[in-house]
Amino acid sequence: MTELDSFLLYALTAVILFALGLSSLLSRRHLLRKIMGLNIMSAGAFLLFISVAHRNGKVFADPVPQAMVITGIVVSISATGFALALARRIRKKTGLTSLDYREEPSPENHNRP
Amino acid sequence: MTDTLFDMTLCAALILAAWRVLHSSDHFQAVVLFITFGLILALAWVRLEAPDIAIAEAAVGASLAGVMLLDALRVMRSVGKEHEQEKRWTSVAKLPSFHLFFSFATVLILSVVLISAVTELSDAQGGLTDLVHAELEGSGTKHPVTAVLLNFRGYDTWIELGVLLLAVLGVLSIRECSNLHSLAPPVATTIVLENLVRGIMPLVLLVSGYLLWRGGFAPGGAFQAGVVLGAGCILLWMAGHRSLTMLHDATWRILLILGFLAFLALGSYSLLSTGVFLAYDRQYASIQIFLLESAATLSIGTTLAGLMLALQPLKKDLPR
Amino acid sequence: MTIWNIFSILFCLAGGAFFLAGVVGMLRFPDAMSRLHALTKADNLGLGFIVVGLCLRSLVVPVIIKLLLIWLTVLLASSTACFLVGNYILQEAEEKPQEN
Repeated sequence: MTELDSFLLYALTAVILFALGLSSLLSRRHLLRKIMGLNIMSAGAFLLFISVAHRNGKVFADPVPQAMVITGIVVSISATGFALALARRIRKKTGLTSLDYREEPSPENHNRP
Repeated sequence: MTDTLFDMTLCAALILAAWRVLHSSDHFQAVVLFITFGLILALAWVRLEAPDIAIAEAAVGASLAGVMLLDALRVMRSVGKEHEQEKRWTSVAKLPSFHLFFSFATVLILSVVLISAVTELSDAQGGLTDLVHAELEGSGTKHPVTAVLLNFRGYDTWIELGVLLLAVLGVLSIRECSNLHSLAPPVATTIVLENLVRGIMPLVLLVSGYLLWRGGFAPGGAFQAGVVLGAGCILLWMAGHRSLTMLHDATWRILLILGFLAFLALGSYSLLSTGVFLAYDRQYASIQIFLLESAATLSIGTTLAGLMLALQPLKKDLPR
Repeated sequence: MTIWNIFSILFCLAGGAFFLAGVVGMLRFPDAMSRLHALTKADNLGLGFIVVGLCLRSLVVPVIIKLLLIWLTVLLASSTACFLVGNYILQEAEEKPQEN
């Protein structure tokens, strides 16, 4: 019974993390918040994978979802890197930090190193 | 009982950290809390008996993602009066109400559907553990996760190395630079950091090789070793050490594509000899896995370092 | 409950208490420099206590050496980080009167 409880606990946490990330992706304007929301969404998805793997394995946790999640972590960090490069380019070219047409462009910060 | 209490505290900490990441008004605070979230998540992986993922998450989520986000934050910050405008701008309450209502309604409906789906999953089913353990002897390693990654699902690993390569190529094309030498040489920083890096970099290389070797029989493997290597290279550059600029230009390019090419070469050889792409000969499986793992480590380390380093100032952008 | 277990629990609790003290210092001290000082000192010492507690749990020599190496490396890294942050705080403080 405790095994089932632990699975339910982590699975519900995973769903809540996914929902939090999705809400940030949809409703926050700043690009960095969107990117962080995307990362938290993927963390929620991975948590669901591994909670299922933990419930399945009796002696050893199921290795196939673990391999998928390791692959997923590396893919998500490369997507984050690319998204950050795009966000920085948008900032440099237009001075905007979001994709909203109502924002006024602000100058770059040259003071800090 | 204490196990459940610890699990509940961990999950509450995860949700609290995620909430603060997404709803704090200061961007720097959000990025720091994101790093904290990654580290608490690594603890959760250990609780769920997935130590491979814990090592990868601690290295990636805490160090690499944190460094990239902090660097992006430095570029995307405003200064002075614009800072006030930005603070008002990013508050959720300023959004048009239809947009807000729509996004929250979507999230609510999605969470209800997901929660009902997850509670239906409660019936314990088989899983692939027994199948993996049955085939483990002929696979070339003793660790099931490594066997799955590099033997049973080797195709996925090959494509993943391709995705990494695509991301680096994307970043390079955005920056309009094509090699290591178009980056401005790193700025020398304080003596303390330089000497620390000089002393610690061999240790980083040792840990990376140790994780790679250990993946054959215990938690570890190519990805964890590659991530540690990438983080070490980023640290080397950030500390102002010039050793990376002394590498030949072709070295970096070869290292970037080495992992993808190794899988492709092995797969083509097995396609030509046995008719199946990426088939593993039972006799030579351990040697094949070792070669593929080493190539993948070098490739992953260089790619992840390249994702960060390609965003540093270029030679042509520096003020004269 | 052997004597080693009791001592290791005591050391881990002491380490936790030091971490808690460091966090309280970070939240309650007035300016950045004192917060940095509290956090770095308390975290290093807390980690040392936890490492000693873990060494007492596994009385195998290779594991003890690895744990002590981990503690030494974290000491090095965190003191360098403390120095860098302190340097930055000093630079910021020097720039502010020049701006005003």
